[in-house]
Amino acid sequence: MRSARRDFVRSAAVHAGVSLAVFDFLDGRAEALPRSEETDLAILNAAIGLEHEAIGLYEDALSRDLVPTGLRDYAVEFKGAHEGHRDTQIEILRERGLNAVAPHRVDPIRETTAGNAVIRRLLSVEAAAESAYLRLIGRIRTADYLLSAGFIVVDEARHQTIWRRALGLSIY
Amino acid sequence: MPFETATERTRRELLGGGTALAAILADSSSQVLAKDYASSREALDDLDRLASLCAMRLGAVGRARASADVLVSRFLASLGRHRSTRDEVRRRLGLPGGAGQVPEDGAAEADLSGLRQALDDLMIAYAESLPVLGDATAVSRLAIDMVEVSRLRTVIDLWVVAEEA
Repeated sequence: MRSARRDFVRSAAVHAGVSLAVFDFLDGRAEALPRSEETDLAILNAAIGLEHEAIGLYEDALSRDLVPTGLRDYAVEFKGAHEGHRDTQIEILRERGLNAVAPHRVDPIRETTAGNAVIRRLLSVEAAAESAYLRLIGRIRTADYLLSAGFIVVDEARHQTIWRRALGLSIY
Repeated sequence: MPFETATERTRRELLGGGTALAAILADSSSQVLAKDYASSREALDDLDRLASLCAMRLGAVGRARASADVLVSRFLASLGRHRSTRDEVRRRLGLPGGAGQVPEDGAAEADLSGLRQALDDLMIAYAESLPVLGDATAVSRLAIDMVEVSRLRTVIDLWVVAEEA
């Protein structure tokens, strides 16, 4: 799952055009980023890239009926949550007079039938998103973005918990 | 002090699309719109208070439901670790210590929805504390605990939903 997480972050970061410094930080190869407006903007673009990637994967899973029937409502809800996260962060960029990175084409899920492998893939996306936000959150300088990031990361934790339970993994 | 500004309300509406926050926002008893902390000390004091309420409710659930023993003891251990983190953050920020230990045997209702609400309030207070801390390490450490509270809240939510089904 660690490899899937890394692929998720790498794809999102590359498509979001984030700086090498932010990418290395997300990838765990750099220990610090300065707390500055510039860092906030770089984090916003990286985070929007992550949300585009997550939305794309959920859309793919839902449109191809890859989510087991009893879990479909959760997938729909979580896709909506990621859209909310994306829109919030786009709005924060707009307030700063900037445009967000456009959505990118997401590689389709390899599986062709609904089942646990797809849920594991979605879980890896949520784990990667939570990990990325937790790495970045201490570097956010502005109060409004910090508050929004806080609400976003608790959502990612909720999504992870639901998918872990669906897979019969430990949740507490 | 009220938190909302027009911009923030809009942003919360955006965040509320299909999120756990949406469910919380829909509950008028929630404290979700209540806090704009003036200082890190005020925020940490409020986190201590809300965590104590969670511990009391957990203790009550544990006493009323023997089957919840493992869950309750693990959750209380988590709250204890979070308390230690907040104490370390207080020291890091040069603040005086907080109130005493978590009173898990205090008087509280044993209902699960009350516990879920208490965990909601704690989780939201964590998020609303982050902007006032002004210290990257403190933000990172409290964010990790906030995520764990979100997990605890989700577990209780799943339990409530299972009992209602």
